Amino acid sequence: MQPSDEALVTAYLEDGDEEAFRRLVERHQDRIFGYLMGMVKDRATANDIFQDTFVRVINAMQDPDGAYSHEGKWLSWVMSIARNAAIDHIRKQKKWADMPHDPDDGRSFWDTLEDDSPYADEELHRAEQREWLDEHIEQLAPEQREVLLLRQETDLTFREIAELQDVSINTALGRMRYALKNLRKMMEDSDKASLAGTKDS
Amino acid sequence: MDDSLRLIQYLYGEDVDDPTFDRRITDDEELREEYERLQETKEALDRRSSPSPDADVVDHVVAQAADAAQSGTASDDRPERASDRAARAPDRAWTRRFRAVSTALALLLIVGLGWWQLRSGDPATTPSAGETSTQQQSASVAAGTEEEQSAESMPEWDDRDEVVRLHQRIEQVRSRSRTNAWGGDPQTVDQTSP
Repeated sequence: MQPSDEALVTAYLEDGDEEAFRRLVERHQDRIFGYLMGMVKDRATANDIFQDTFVRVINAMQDPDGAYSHEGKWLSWVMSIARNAAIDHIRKQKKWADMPHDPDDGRSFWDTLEDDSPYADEELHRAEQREWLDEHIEQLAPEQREVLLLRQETDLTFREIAELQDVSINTALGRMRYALKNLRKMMEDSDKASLAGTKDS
Repeated sequence: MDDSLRLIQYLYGEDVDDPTFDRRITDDEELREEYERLQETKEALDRRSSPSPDADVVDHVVAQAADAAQSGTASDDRPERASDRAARAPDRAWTRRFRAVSTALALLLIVGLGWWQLRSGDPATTPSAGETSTQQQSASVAAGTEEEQSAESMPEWDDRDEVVRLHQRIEQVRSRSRTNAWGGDPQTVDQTSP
């Protein structure tokens, strides 16, 4: 049985167990990093913010008067720090406003799904899909994009996301609904005829 | 909360506040169609694999955590861990500078003491031919200063010419006084003129 996040946190803080901390990081690294990648769109920058996030996390955990309250919500607490680190970076870069968007190079999302060759490289195929989706997620309004990234990448519940963003749960759900609908519309606009190809075959 | 928002919670497998919502999705065609459209979009997003951070970034984070467990704080600007850092030779530049300055001061002290002893042992000693003009100048300046000091220390009346003049004046006044005294010679007109 996997130890809980809280058990690993306790092992690190009370026994200085480095491996416990490594397991915590490795357990959640894709969620945290996926969110950061979605926010800053640059791998090197996301790596920097990931590291900055954990410097803040470690200092807060080591501080007896720090912000971590041992309520069994380590990931959502770390995500709030990651979010602040990402926003700090975006403010510095003055990129918080909507990006100018014209990333459509004529290829549709469905083009990335359809491939005549049954032996097409699956990894390349997934990478193309991801690239297409990333480009179009970036076109969403910032508040919609953030809720979508937080829900898809980090698995935080809508209630946790609402707490993180300091909004009501209805607002968080409404933003997610518009994010999905807008993304759906972009997919349909790119190529309505091949809509059926979205489902896994 | 309206059904459009419940649909989002339901889509992501979260608890919905309406226990009949599951059945209503099946019964309500409009609700079911929207659910299916949203589900297709979600499935596309689910297929989008999450990227991972670089392995060395994770290693660095764990190393910082280990350091912090010992020291209490994590620092972002440490390029290498103290225990892994190569040993450095101590900086001996200051030691070398201090040694050179000490040697120079010691030489100056020895030369100064020797010069002082030569001066105090033979006051009449004149500067040798090998001494520089600067030393001669400084010696003459020192001599002039001594003369001025002795002149200043003497009283003004001790000046020879002044004493003679003063003596002559006293004699002159004394002779006049003798003629102006009661019972002396009568004063002439010439004697009253300046």
